[in-house]
Amino acid sequence: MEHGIPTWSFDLFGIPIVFELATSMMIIITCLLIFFTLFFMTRKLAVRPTGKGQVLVEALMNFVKGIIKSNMAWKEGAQFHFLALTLFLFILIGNLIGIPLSFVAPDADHTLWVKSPTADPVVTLTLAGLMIVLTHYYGVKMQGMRGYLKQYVTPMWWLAPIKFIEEFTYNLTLGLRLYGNVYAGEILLLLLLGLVTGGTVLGALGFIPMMVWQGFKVFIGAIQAFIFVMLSMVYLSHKVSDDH
Amino acid sequence: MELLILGAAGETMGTAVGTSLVLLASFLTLLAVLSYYVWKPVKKVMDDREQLIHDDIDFAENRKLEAERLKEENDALLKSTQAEISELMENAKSQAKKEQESIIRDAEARSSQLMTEAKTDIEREKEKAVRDINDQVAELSVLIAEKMIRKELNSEDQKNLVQNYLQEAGDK
Repeated sequence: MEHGIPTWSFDLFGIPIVFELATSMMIIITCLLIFFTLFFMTRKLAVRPTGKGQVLVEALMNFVKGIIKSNMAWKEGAQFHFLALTLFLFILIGNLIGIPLSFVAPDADHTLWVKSPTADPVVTLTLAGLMIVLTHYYGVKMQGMRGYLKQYVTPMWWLAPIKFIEEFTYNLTLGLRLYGNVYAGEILLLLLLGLVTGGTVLGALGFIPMMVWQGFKVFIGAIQAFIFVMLSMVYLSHKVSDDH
Repeated sequence: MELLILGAAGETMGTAVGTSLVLLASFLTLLAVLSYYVWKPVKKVMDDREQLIHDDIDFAENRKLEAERLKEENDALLKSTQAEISELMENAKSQAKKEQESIIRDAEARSSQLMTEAKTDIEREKEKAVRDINDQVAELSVLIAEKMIRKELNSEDQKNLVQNYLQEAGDK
């Protein structure tokens, strides 16, 4: 089943800058959703928590703190706490937002407007790229240029080319793992949706596997968000810590 | 679907740039805004709580140490007080015993003194009584003698009479 992709583009110095409108919209919706939810959850802060909101946010912070602590000393890892938290939330909500809603416009292209922003390789690869760039930045910042470059020739100097290529494969594996999981889930969900709305009596029974698959997708979405943050922190710790 | 083909040139790359920019802008804005409005305040509250708990634990530990110190002090004080008390009791007992003995001794001495005094008194009284009786007997004798003398008696009878009386008086 083909879906149309709404785009808008302009030329910058002869290079076309193309925006995928559906993905861009879902990115912004995800960000707004996260921000306002958390903002209203944490309006009444107290040393002795009075509401569920604060407890939930604190649990989330401790969870992400645990992820960072399992990779590096908290002394070094504390500066990545907010980044990892935001990353985790964005991917988690991005994964989940496509589950309850899918909106296919009733036009000739079957334009798909509502979907997970993380079901787009551009989004996941950009996030992965951002994290990999950050690992290099903090590697240089905390180890110095000498320490950073030295990592490429340890333990053996002839491993340098492999280590160099590894930096790019990190980006690809990190991004494509997330994209593959979410996109595959979304495709299957759309196929099941087509089956249910197909109009046949037998097809209407498709809502049972659809519900099962939605439940499984919640699980996958959470796992993938965890894995993405975990691996980002692993790569960061490789560059940042002295003991590697 | 052309998106699935990695490294596809032209249009696909163009697509990447625009959405990437949107994502980067959104994500970094979200990071900044969330950090300012949510993460920092919550982190501050959590740190405050941690500090509070640390303070409380320190306070409790100090209190515990102080309590132990006070207990030791009190125990030592109690022990010394008990020793003092038992010593005092001991002293009081021996003192009482001494006093008791001295009182008994005094009483014995006094009673024996009283006894001797009483005995001498009795002796004296007895002697006095004997003396009085003797005196009275003598007086009576004299009176009797006078009465007898007034009577007319012969010298022989008088002599006998006096003799008899004197003898009688002497026997008494």
